[in-house]
Amino acid sequence: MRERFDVVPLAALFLGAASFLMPFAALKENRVVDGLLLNGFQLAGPLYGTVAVLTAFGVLTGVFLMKNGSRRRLLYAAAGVVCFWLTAALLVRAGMMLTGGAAPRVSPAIGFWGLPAASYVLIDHSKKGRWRMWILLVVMLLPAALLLAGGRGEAISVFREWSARKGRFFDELIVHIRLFGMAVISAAVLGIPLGILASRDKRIGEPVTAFVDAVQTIPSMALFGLLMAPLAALSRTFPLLRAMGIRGIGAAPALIALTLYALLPIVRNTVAGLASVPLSAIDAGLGLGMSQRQLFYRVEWPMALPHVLTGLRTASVQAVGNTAVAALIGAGGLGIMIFQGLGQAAPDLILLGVIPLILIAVAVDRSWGFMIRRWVSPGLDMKGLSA
Amino acid sequence: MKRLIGPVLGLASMAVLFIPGILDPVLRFLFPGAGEWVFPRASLLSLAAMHLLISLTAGATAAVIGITLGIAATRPAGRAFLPLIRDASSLAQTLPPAAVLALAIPFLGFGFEPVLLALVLYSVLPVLNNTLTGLETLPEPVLEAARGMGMSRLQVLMRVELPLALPVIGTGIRTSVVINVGTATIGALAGAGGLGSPIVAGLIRDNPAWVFQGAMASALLALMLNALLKAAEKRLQPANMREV
Repeated sequence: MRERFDVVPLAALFLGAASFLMPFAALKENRVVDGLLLNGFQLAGPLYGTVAVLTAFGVLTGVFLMKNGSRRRLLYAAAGVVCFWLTAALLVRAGMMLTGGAAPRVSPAIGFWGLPAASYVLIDHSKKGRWRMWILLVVMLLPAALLLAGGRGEAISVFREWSARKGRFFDELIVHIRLFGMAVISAAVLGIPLGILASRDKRIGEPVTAFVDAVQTIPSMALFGLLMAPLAALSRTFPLLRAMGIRGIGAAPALIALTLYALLPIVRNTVAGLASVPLSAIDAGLGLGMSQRQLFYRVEWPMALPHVLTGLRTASVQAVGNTAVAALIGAGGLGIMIFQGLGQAAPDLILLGVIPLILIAVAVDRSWGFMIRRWVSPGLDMKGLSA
Repeated sequence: MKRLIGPVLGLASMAVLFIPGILDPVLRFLFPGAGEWVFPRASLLSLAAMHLLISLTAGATAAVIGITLGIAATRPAGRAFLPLIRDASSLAQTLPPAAVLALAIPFLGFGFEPVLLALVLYSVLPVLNNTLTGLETLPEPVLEAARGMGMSRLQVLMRVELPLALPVIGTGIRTSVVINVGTATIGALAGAGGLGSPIVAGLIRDNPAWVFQGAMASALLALMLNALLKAAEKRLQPANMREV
């Protein structure tokens, strides 16, 4: 087979070019007006324009001229980092080009996503070894963070929304984290024993899995809605419950619904994990003279652990997103900003809710990956489970 | 007998929900203090039809895109993109669908189209992921045998790879449709209509009866669609791979 060109970086080039040819950001006088759309070249000026063109040439050189694989990957990684810096630089430049107005701001437009996407593609394509990724991440984020923190990013729309409600933002952030954390913990406390029971006894197992399966299918907004009426009725009839803060709206129905949602992945993965323990391992344990209890704690549980942890991972990542919907029934959290933004047709406010939401989801996912690698016995086969 | 319980229950609740003459007294009994009972702006049936239209259109579009991309990434010419697509799609799986919807609205405006587009964007992922898994985990000897019989690449794809991967792909399509039904409920906030509108209206106007009918109807729709697609999935499986 003839040697092929490295096509993936060319795709990144294409994405990056979109940032320069399509509208990158809108300069607005306030939150409501449409504003002036500018593309990357209009924003870049001679300095950053040259940097962009040089980066593109660098990628092309790597694709068509370089033979050495590891050097070529280094070049791609560098180009990816530069793409990320350029994103921040262009936003700041846009901020400096604002002329005035009541609350002038820079809102990202469709082309804005081209450069970060190109950066992701290039770095993903060049990755090898974990520690290098960490260095890359710091190199990538530090200058961008310094640039934005140095007061030069204050015109960017999301920062404007943020500085208008700093206190509220952190309160809601904490409410959000507490709500989804409590839901995942209660689901784990309920779900893992349920899963163990279900795998011991088929008569319990079938209805339990059918129930959690059905709950997962119900749209989150519908489940919140369905829980409101009965909880409101309960709180009306029993003053004690009302005194405990259990009402039709607020944290109580949200916590119940979120816990129910988180049950499915946990129960299902516990059952699957215990079912995946090979008979020969159990046989060996019995042959060593282990009691039922020893067999469970020393053989079955450690071997089922990767599945159980993967279930917890899925449940937590889902819970982060579902908690946002809980804001609709007055539970608070980042969803407040999203739904307020939707209600006021204010995209910048939506972004203020969505960006931390996505960051939390990715961080939770990565931390579980890290813990799974640490806690699972290294001799176990992790095939089929992403870690 | 046991197999009939589900469908009968489903049909009975549908009758209660979709025939206003029955729904009204039921709601009056459950929520004596609500003031207004049956959602006045549109009948639940037409809202459900709208809801189905959005979710199924998005599901079908996503299925076509996801399967095409999945096939392309597993052919020799597209293989270079496979690791990238895998990484990107597992990253994208961590994004909450509500966040994707909220993100799409600033760019696409309010109404039916942005919700449709956001749903398609998000629901491509389960289909794509499952298509890749289905095509990548086929036993090599089977493919070897197909090539040895003198099948062309297209024949191997159409007669061996796709039929064998179909159950896994089908599961992906079901997941994406179920997610769509759920996310379309939130889509009511973006003005897309559907069964989310009585919920949203009820929350704003503090009317539990409206919330209840919207929630019941969308829950029922999701459960029934899931059951239907599961049954269809069983049919898709090649006879000798069916579990008894």
